[in-house]
Amino acid sequence: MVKSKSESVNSKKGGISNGFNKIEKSTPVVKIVNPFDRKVNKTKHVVLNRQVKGASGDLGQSRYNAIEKRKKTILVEMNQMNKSNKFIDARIGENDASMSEEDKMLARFQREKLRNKNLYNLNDNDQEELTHMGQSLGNSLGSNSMSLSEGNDDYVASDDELDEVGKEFLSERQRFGGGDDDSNGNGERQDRHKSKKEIYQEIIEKSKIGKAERAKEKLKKEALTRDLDEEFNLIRGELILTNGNNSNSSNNNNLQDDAFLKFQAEQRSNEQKFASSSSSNSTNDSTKKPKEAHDDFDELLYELQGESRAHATDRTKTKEEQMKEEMERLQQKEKERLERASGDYVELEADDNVKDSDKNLPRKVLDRLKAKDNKPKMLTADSLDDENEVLNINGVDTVFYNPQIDSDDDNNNKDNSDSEDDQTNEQSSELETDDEDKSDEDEEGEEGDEEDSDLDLKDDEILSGQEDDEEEEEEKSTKKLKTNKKSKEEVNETIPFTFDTPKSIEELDEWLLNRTSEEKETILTRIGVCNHVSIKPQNKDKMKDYLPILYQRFINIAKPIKEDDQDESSNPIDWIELDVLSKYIFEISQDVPIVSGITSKDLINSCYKRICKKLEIQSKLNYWPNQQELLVIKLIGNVFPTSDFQHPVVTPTIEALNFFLSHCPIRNANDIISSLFTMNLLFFYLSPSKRYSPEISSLLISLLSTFINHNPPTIQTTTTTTTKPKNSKNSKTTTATTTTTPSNINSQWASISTNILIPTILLPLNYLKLSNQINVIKKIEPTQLEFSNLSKSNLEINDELRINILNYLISFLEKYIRFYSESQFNESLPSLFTNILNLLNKLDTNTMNLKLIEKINSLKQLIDSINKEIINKRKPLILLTSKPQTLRQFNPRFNQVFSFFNKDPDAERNHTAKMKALIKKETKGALREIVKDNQFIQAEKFKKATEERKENEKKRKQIMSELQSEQQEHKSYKKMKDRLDGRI
Amino acid sequence: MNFNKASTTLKDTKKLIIVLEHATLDTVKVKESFQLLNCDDHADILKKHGKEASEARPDILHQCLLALFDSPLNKAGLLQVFIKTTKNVLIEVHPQTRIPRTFNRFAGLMVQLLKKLSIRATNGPDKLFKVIKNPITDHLAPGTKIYATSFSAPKCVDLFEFVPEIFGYDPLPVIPVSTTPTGVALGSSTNNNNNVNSIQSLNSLGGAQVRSAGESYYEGMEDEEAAEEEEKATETNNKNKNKRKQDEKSDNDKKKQKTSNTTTTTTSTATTVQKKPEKKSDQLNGLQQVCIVIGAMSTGAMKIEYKHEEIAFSNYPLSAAGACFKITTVFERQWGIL
Repeated sequence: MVKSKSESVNSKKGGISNGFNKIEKSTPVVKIVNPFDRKVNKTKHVVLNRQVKGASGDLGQSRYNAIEKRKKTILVEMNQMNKSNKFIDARIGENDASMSEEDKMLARFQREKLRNKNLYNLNDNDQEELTHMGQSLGNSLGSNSMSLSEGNDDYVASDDELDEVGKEFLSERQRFGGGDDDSNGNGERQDRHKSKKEIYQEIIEKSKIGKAERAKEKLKKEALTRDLDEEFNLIRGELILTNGNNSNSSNNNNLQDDAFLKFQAEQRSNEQKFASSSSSNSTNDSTKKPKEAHDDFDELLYELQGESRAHATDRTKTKEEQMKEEMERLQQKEKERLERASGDYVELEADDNVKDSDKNLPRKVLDRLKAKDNKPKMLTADSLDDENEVLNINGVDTVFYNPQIDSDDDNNNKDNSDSEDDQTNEQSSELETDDEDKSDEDEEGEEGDEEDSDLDLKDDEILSGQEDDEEEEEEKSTKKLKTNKKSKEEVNETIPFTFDTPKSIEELDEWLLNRTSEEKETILTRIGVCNHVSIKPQNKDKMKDYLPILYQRFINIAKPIKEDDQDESSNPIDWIELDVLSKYIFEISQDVPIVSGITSKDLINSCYKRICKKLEIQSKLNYWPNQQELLVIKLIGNVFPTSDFQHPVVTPTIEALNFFLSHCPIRNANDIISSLFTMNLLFFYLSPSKRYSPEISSLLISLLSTFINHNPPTIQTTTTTTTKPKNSKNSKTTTATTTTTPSNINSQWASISTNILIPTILLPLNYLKLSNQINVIKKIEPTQLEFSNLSKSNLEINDELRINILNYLISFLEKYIRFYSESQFNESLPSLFTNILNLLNKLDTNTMNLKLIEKINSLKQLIDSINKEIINKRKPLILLTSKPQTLRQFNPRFNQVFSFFNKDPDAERNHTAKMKALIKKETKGALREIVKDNQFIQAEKFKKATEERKENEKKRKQIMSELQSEQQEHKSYKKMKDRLDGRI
Repeated sequence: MNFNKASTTLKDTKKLIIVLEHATLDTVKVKESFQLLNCDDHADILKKHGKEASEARPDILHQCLLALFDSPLNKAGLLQVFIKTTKNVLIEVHPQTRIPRTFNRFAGLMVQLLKKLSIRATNGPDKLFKVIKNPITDHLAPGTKIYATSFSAPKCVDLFEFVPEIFGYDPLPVIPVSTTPTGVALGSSTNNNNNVNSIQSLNSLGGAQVRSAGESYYEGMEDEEAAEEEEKATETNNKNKNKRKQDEKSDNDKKKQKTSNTTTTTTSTATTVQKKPEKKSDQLNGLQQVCIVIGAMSTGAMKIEYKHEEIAFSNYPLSAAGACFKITTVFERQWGIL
């Protein structure tokens, strides 16, 4: 709008420029000096070296200037509105007064003449040349005529020159494109002039062209033939090579056929002779050498084949195959055994064969052939009998396992009760016989301890790894050979080589009845080999049934035999068989671990329940676990890992043992000994994982304290012989009173002061007191407790037994303290060990043997040293003084290059924003100007309207005055007339 | 900051307030950028506008702030800094501010502060710099004593003696904490006072040195002053009563320390300072608020109206940063900050 106005003003200025210029010059510059029109804008942030626009302005002056500008522009435009156009003569020279009319007309003519330029006229003077293919037509025609004229002259002169002309002619023909029309045209022209000559030339040319073409064709054919010859030679070469390959392959086939034939011959020879590989090789060599001594190549092939076999056999042996081989070997031996058992005559022949085998091999073969000849005569009658025997062994109807076990347990319990009652009666009557029995049982116990140590060693070997198992298997194989020899020597009973799993414990007992330990071991190994899990998957089910039978066998052997006659004759426990059974239980439980876990858990539960019932009923019989139960628990500790934090079998056993130690009462010597053995067994369970059981330490301390309380440190004087029977009588009476009246037991209760930490110790008064015979006690040497004491029903307490118990306690304490002092968490042990040390210091050692005294003193020194070490390692408490905390400091968030204007880093975006701002600014300015212009226009219009209104008012007044004057004259005239007429 | 709301009892608050007066912080426009006016970079502009080079020294302020905020007194949280510029702009600085190390960064920070009136922390909502309303006395606790410092002051004092006087108690003990504890028993100097004797008796038991808390009040001779000071005498009587209660409390604490020393071994070493038998006047009337004004300009003297007293603490004309170091060390010693 502003621009349009300015343009319109400029255009109009051109017409009225002279007048306005005069007006502008005449207007003076006016300055308004009103101070209240000045305005100052306040700056918020004072910045040095910054020029701020619009800081202060003179409003009055700027307003005056604007009004004057509008008068010059808008007012003029408004005055010229609604006016007609004016004709302005703008012809050339019209405004120049100096020019004459003639000059004007001349100038106009000149301008008009320059305007139109040759738009409708052709150039007649210019001549265009007609050309064809870049050459003017006239020139070409001239040249052609010249050439023809020259040709004629030359033709007349000589024939050689004619050839040259012919060449030129040909070239010209080619230039014109070589079309038929052109050639015909040229030919026609020449025929017309020189028809015969031209014809001959054409014929000559054609013949030459034909010759050239023929020559080219020949060259091409020669090239092709050369190429074909080369290719043919190459093809011949390939064919020759292929023929060579075929010949080589045919040779190879011949060689293979020869080898194959030999192989077949060898196989046939092997089949015919029915012998092992080694013997067949040797026989073949011996037979073929005299025949084929000259054929070296055949011998080499034979040797190579033999070598390959050897390698193959070595590589493919695995456990499964090894077990299969053993099984097959055993099966063959079983067959041989059955054949031997068919008749006496056959056995004799077998012996002869064994004797003669060392001399010559072919004789062995001949003897076997003879035996085969004899077999059909004998087998027809005896084979049925052999089969019947096998069926009898394998086909026996089986009885279920569980009721047998239950029945056995019931029978055993009854037997135990009966035997105990009988023994008590016997012992009460006869004391001398008991003494003799004890001496025998001591010897047996010592042997048992040694065997226990062997168990531990063997178990360690078993646990070491698979390699040991393989070595043991090799040893077993050697043992088998020895056993075979022994079995052959023993003519009475022979062991079969193949076994199925026994279906019941009775069947296994039948097989193992009246056998030596070595024989039992062989039988068990063969059962394991023939029914191994790796051979068949069905064998696993057999093993599941077989494993409980082994456990039951273990229990039956672990039970003591309590008949007096048998005790004298043989050992009550077969430790060797227990070792063997433990091995196989361990091996088989690895194959079927779930069944092993279930059976062992059931055994522990039965033991636990038995003891719980007895505790509830408060019976007077044995509360502690039996001998066989302890052995089973030891077996479980060897079969299953004891170092796991939690195990489905081992943790119940540990809990049961803790229960036994803390709840079972101790009333007599049997209870003391059984408690000590269970304590040792619990220590065996806890030692791999280095756990601590408070039951063990509490039992140790309580037994030691009871011993000390029963043996006060005061020295008693020697007594005369007369007092001895009195003491014996008193002891008898005390035993009688304890059985009848329990009030005496209440004198000793569990409390911290007495250091008795188990409330279940119910020993009578002075039960562990040593006798007054000091000299006798000093002579007693401490010995180990026997495991066989567990089988005895009623042990009478004795000074020797008391000292043995003390010896056992001290030796166990030493082991116990050494073990736990080496553990990682030993800081709290001095508080426990000092208690033990105080008890040992209270112990009276004057009446003891020197060995025992030395042991006690060494234990005291050990405890002192360990306590000192642990206490010295302790670190005292130190006050922790921490440094005061410093205030956390924060970095201020600011822009290093700061500008008051939020300038955008993107240039394009910044530019667009800048343009938008400028547009906005301009629009506002334009609107503001438009508003002010409209106000100015309205003001001018109002002014004009007021002027018009004044003029109209003036005219109206003038008219009214005239009218009034006329009316006045009319009235005066009328008045005069009336006066003259006489009306007034 | 509102000291009245934050502190329940004014005696417990320990805070040193420092005002950096007459700091020169001006913004200048150079082509299209805005910079902090500096005598080195903008010499032509200063000449154009007829200003002296001493009127464009923001580096002095930067050095002062670095000296104050790197002191252990600030890290212990016992310092508050205000800045007042020649154009009468008052700025509060948060104690947890980390002042930019280089002057260029500091200049950018101040330009933005003068424009936006506040600066926040990068990793927190707190305002580290804030332009606050004048006058400065409205932002100080009531009863705060304001000391202006000047080389040309008529009174020159030893700060190590002046500060205990105005607070009314001796410097607190210093506790060096080392990573390797060592129980070392140190002998203490003998004094006639009973309190010191009790400490010595504890040391003679073989244990480590016992820490002794500072006593804000001290028993002494009665004043024999004129009748014009009777009002002060009544106030001193009230102080003596409070002091007796505190003495009883300190005795109980010492007894507890005896029992603790028998069982445990302390690894701290303490230094006991000999106390003076003279009475000390408490000019702050038990209040713990002191405001010290330091001039952050190169030449000239401060002309302020809100000061209570004007002191000089050196015989040499110190730089502003040097003055800041000296003041902070004195107050660290007073309050046992190592």
